[in-house]
Amino acid sequence: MRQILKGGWIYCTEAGWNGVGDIWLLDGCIEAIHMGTGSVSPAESQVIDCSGKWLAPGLVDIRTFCGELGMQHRETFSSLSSAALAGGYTDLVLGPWGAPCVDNPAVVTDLLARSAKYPVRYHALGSLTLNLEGDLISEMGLMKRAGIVGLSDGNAPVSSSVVLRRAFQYAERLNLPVFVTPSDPDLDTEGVMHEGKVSTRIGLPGIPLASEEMSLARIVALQRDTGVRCCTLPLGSAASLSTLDTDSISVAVAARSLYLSDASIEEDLYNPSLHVYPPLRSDPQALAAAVRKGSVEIVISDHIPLTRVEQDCEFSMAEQGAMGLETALSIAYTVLEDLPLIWEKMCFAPARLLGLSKGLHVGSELDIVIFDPNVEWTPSLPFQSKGINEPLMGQSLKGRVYTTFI
Amino acid sequence: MSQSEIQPWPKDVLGLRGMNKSTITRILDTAVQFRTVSKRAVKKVPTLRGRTVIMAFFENSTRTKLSFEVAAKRLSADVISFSASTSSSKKGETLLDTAKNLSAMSPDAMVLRHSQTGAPHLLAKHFDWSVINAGDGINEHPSQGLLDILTMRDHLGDLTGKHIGIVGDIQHSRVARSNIFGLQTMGAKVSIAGPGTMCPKHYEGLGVQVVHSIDDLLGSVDAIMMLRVQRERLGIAMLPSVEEYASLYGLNVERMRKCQSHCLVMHPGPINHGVEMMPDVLDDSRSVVMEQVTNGIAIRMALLHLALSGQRGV
Repeated sequence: MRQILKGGWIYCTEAGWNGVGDIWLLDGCIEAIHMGTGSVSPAESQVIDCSGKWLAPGLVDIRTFCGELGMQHRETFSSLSSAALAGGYTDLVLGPWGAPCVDNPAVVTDLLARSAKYPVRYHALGSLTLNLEGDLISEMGLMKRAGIVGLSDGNAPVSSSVVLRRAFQYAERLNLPVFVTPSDPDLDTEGVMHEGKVSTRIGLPGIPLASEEMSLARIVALQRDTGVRCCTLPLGSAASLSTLDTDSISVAVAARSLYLSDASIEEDLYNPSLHVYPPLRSDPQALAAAVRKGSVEIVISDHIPLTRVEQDCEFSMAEQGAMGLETALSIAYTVLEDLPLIWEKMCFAPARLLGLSKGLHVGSELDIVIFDPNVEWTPSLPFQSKGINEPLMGQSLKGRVYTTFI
Repeated sequence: MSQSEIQPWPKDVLGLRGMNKSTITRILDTAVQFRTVSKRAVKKVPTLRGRTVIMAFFENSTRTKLSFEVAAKRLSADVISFSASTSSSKKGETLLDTAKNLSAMSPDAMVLRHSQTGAPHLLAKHFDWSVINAGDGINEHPSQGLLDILTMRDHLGDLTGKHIGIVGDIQHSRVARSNIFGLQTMGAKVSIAGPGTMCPKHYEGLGVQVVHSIDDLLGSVDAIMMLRVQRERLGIAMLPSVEEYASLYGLNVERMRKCQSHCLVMHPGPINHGVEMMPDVLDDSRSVVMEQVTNGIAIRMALLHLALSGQRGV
């Protein structure tokens, strides 16, 4: 039956929509788009009242964790897909840090085949180096042929500048984007949170900001040297952006870093869900300003679900990472309150980087999020994800996904 | 103190950060009362008869563990002790699972030492019995801070406006942090000194004065606390050599001459003789190191008594 999304604000910069109208859906495709309020709904249509709501293409996430294979207790494709749709995401990029590691074409093929039957479009990153060990570059060309959209060593940054430079050179020739974590493993070794007044007060070992600043400078220098398309995995602080010209790379931040800070770990004392990487720094407002100004190009969910067993422990012993898929859009709206800006950062910019087609075009397959900016809600258990480590649990957020069509 | 000013007694003793002055004073005053017990021929009172206290030390400890055990036994509590080497944590059991099993044995309190910051806070959140922090990671060692403050109060009286110096590896010292929080609450001014690797500038965020030379403190402090330097820090580029540390930061007789006549010399132990403190400094009449040990038992008796003897919610 035809469904009519009636009276919503249709937004898509790729297709040129920005105004009130109706979207007609039929047989899994967009049948028609009528701007304005004058269209008459045919009989035998299911009309969904979208007045006051926002209709736009589904979001794109450039770093998501799935437990398949090897860690299904944390997340399966089934639970991940449900979480993604609940959060408005229709394209997810899976990192290479599973078991087995995605460092060869056979694993890429298997991963993409497994994920294909779920109602979200999954894409894969291959590892930059074999088994994320930072020593030997991986079979990037064969993995590209198998379907990867980029390369990353995740939170295991390549410590050797020689290896990183060669990996960048090799990836550039293959026209594959690289996603690199700005961190210095040596400086990070002892720390579990941002080093500063709060870590001093609550007695947790700190990670100095210099770790991120030094590493980002190295990434920028090697990108300029090699010309590779490069995106940071989430930056934790805006401090580096004021001193470093990052125009040649894409800078990404996690949505939670716009809202939470190191002070959150003191307020919700030693909550292991706040043990994330990059650590929550002290300047979320400055990071949000950098998003508005344009020096941050992409906002991601940085979804790493963990279970109760991995969270019922001391802060330092908890696995790093937090959920994000089901709350990232609401966090971004709560902080930024600018839906066109948010869609640029969470949909169009990451899609361009990955070469994905995103747009509300007549005849195209369904890929639509209905977002209601007028509701307030509080994240609480249970989630669609199998994780329990939602750092925004109990906080009041503005705006929520009404439904997602794909 | 009027009834309205008496705060409900907290279930747990997790740290001195955030503990108010009246609570600290109440602990110190209770400890003073218990000090007399240790001077009697029969050093035991029935206060905690029938109550079970578990000593859970997941890190090595001699004086703190013994001090808590003596304190609990002098209050007639039943004491069960175990250490990391004999616990199932060696088999990979999580702290919470270990505690759940212990909880099934109906304890009344656990005295916990653990290498991870926040371990006592985790157990305090999950269980209704009392948790007393005997040292967590680099965070806090509240009973040590309290016994130090009691020792200072004994000699210096009201600590308002008194200047206390702490010298050494502040960055990795839970003793220093508990002292900083507790002393500031009691109105004292705290200065810290040490190499930049051990005494970073961001400690100024705690409201302390950071100096990098012990000599800048000597003339003005009412008490100077020397912290143990762990020799293993040498291997991770924290210090160039023990000799250099002893020369730049060690307390010796010559430096003692520059201190005020009433300046207390303190050390939480164990002492590295010849590193942070020269052996003859202990012989100085201003050294109160052994008094700290004695006061430790009284403070720990006070903490156990207040936590377990129905004082909650008074």
